[in-house]
Amino acid sequence: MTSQHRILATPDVRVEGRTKVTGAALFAADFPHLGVLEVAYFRSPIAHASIRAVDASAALRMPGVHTILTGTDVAGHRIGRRLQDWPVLADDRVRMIGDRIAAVAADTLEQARAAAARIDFDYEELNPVFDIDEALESDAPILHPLSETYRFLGGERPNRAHGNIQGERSITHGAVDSGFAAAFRVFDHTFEMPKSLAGPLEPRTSMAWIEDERIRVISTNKSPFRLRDEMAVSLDLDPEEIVIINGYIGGDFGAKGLSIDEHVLALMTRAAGRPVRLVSSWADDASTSNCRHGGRIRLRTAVDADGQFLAHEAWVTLDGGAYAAAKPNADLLPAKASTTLGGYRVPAARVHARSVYTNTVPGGNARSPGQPQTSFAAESHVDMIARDMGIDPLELRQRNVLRDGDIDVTGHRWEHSMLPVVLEKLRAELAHRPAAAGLGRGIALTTRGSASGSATVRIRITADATIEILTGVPDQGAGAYTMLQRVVAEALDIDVESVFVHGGSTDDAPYDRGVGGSRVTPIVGGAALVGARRVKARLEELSPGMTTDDQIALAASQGGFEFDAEFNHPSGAHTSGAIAVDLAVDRQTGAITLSDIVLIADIGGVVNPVAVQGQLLGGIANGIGTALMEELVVEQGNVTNPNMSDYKMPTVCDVPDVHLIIVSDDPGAGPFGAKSVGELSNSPVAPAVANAVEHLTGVRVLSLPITAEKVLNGISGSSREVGVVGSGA
Amino acid sequence: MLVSGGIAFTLMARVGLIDPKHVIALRSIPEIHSIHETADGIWIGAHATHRAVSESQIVQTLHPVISAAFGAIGTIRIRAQGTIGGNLAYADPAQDPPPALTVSSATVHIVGPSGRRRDVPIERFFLDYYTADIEPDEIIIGLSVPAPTQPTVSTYRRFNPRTVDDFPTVSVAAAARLQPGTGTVEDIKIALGGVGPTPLRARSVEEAFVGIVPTFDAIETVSALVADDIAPFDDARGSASFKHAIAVVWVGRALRDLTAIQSS
Amino acid sequence: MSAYPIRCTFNGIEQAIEIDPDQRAIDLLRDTLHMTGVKEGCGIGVCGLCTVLVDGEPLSSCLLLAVFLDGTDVVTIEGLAGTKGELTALQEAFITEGGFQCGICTPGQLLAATALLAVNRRPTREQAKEWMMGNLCRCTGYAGILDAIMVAAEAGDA
Repeated sequence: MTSQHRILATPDVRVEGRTKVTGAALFAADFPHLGVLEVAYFRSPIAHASIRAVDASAALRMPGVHTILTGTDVAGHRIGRRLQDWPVLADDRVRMIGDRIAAVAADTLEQARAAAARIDFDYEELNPVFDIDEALESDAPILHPLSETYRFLGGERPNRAHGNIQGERSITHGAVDSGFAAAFRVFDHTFEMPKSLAGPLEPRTSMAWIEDERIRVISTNKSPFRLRDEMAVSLDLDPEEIVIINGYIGGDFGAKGLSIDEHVLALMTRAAGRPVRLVSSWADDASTSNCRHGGRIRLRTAVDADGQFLAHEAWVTLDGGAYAAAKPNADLLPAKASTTLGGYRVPAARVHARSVYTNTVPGGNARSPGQPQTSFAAESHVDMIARDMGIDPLELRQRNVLRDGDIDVTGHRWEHSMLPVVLEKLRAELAHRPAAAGLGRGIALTTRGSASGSATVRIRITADATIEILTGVPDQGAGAYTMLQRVVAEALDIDVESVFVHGGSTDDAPYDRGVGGSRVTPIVGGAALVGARRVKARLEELSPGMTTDDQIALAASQGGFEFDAEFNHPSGAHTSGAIAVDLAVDRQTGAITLSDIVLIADIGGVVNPVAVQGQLLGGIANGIGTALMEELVVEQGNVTNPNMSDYKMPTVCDVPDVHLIIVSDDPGAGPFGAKSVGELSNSPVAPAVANAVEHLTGVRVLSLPITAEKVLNGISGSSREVGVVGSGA
Repeated sequence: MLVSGGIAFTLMARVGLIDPKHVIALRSIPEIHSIHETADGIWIGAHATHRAVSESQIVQTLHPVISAAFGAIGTIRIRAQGTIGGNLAYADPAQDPPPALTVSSATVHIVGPSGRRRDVPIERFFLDYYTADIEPDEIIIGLSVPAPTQPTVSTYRRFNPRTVDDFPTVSVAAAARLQPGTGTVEDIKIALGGVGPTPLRARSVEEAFVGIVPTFDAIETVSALVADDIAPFDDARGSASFKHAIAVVWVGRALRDLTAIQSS
Repeated sequence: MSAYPIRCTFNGIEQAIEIDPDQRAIDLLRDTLHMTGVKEGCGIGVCGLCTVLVDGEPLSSCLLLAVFLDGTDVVTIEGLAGTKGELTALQEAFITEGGFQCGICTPGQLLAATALLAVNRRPTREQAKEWMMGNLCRCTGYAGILDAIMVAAEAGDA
């Protein structure tokens, strides 16, 4: 950082630091709730059934019970971020084990649970579908036969080829067939990945009450304005009649963009005439909210004699579970589901992706939606091509990596690509870090579009001669408020202690789309920068030539001023990264031990150096979980491991030393050149691990997680390729 | 219902698996906390925590395999709260302590109504998954572990490939007495966890290993015999065939631990 | 629910209170005593969010019956800072070294680390890892937490 960046050159000190380290930070479950009714659900024991009757009469007589709502009471209320296909409470049928059938509000949680257990449920079983292939058979039971009656926000729902398809996306560019015809070799590989969890440690919590004829909701949802608007649609209210308030959010990672309970509580508080509260459990969140999609990805790539990609075909089928409600994209697919050879020059490609209904946990957004899956497939596929052709894996990547002006797998032309730089930096770094004896090394590259879109913040000079920023973005941990403080202080050349950031509710803050897509620093930060520059310009008008501090003091003495600052971040910027993972494999057991990791990260200008490091390292830890241990086990629609004892996430002992090299040579349009950071580093870990395992043992694991058992099967069995049974689109 | 450390109790009560009318906490009985030397060996009170057992000087000196197994349990919090008595009564076949207690020939001491006392050798104490030889009206008061005939070497190994904070997929405890001059195996006990409904003795391996002078090849050969002694099943930590494969490797490594220790 | 009297010290203040014998310690702390710094995560003693110190020992308050607190000295996150709000070296280091992001695991991490430095004033990084193994974090990737512990150990008085 140059001397111009006086503040950005110093480490970021979290504005909420003292609050968090003293336990004073209020999360949603910490808000005072004296006298608030507690809510528990009666949930479906069966994966697919039509509801004949729900009898809550016995439950209503139980001690402490105030109100019970069933699907009949809330008929027609369905929720969803785009397709509103998820009934607030099951109406004509249940579609997954754990589906919410009735909600009980009682004085205590124990009383609510005891009453819920007394609800009588009469149903007729329907044939369930538990896997993506069964779901697409011509005679498969259709989970949503009345989907034409569902609201689809923001336009018309596209047609689909089969009633159990949630959404599809097809991309075609270039002369694909002639590309394959001209091939020197064609490589065809299929990969599988399980459902997994975004896995924030804080369970979802919500509270609702009516005040001044408006419904006030405390929520863990990280997009409060979007939740407000979704609730307005599903409850048939004006958005102004609903207020969403956030506490600190204990991690999100994509999962908390979907809300179900808040809708139930809004209806419940109206029915009960009392404030109501629901603190979910980690187990319920794991099995009945939303998860990272599992599925199958088949890649087929034609190469010339030098290993250059001529053409590419891909079939991506993701298990979308019982409801598509969690997904905000019009095609109800995670954004990166179709970027199947990301980061490379692909002159011709045909990619078909689809998400499919099954009677299981609904798929949603989880850190880098779609990309852990496509990166595992693509970066494994590229390595397999390299090894088969006897070309060094890094060399093969350098031959094919996107350069300025190249077209990528989606048909998009890149004006500028940092990937060659990032790859070269990795090569240079690895050259003087040889892998220790007995260790295997695997690499992977990654790229992600930097977020685009707009944001508004309110900026104010107060009567106390301080600067205040008001934002509608909640704090889910990535350091947004500290970033906004530093951007403004840097731009105005004042001390951070003079800048205060407030996260407001949907009632007092300007509209914001919320956390997601790693948008906050580039876009909301961009708005803060616009605001700070306008403040400076205004101060110059009012009192030219004075120091900024004096200008502020003068403006304050005259009552101060405030305005909304908007920033529109253009699309087109990219971030990129390259990772190398060194590991050991115990050949007698297949057990993997990670040794070292190197990450090159092209992320533009750094506003919060400590937070940036934390996001990149946190992403790697998340990627280690995906690579080695995370898997939601679903048997006949039943999640058998919805708890932290059986669904394992990395501990401090599972994360090796990481050597981080940050590249800031390609600034983005965010403040001080910032680009998106938070979702860059998790996706490439799993393929790098798979590549290292193959390098060391010759075993190619084609499915996640890469377990000791799979590796041992490859070492001791007849096939070097393990983890996927059969193949096919 | 009787409660020791309270971990299993709180977990089961929370999800409604148990709903007792009366709960008696055993912690106020002074005699059951003590770990001390006796004429024959060690007494470990049933309410001794995992941490107390693993850090006890007496246990570390006389039966390091027990110390190692208890020190491997869970996290610092679990080790500070969980007790040996609770662990035994819970009878989870994946737990760390039972194989180590088995190869140490521990005896479980139980008191019933009117002071009726039963002493159950550990190998007859575990009956099935989560089922032990103890009645609802009985209390485990402690274990006695005889001092080993010296010189004894022992080892404890757990295999948990996903993450260190996990029950072992397979665990092996072994204790042996090797003849000082020749290195001949005079006595050997091997027990495995995670490979059946209870901890299992690897008797086929023991029988083949006793009386021989261990070599690398001999260890390879006898380890394979463990397949006859175990009955693992498929679960989240692996398939039965995987656990079979691991058991063979782990027994081999345990036997090499014993002989390496001796030779140094 | 019959009321059961217990007597303990909470963050240095001795209190005689009546509890429900079914209550978990975490419910007593959060709901009765309003110490919302004690967090509930997994509810089964794995994640470490609910860690409190009982007679100096880190325990999972979600696994502990409230009645077992009788006669003990309990320290929660609210009791770490000094009476005038002076942060401990560990708390300061968590701020400077990026030891937290969302903050939900932070009380548990700080209490576990406080107990570590009480028994081992200068742990190696490896020793710190082994001790902290039971406190999960989904945000930081752990490096910031370990850095904070090493910095605080160096500073001398946690």
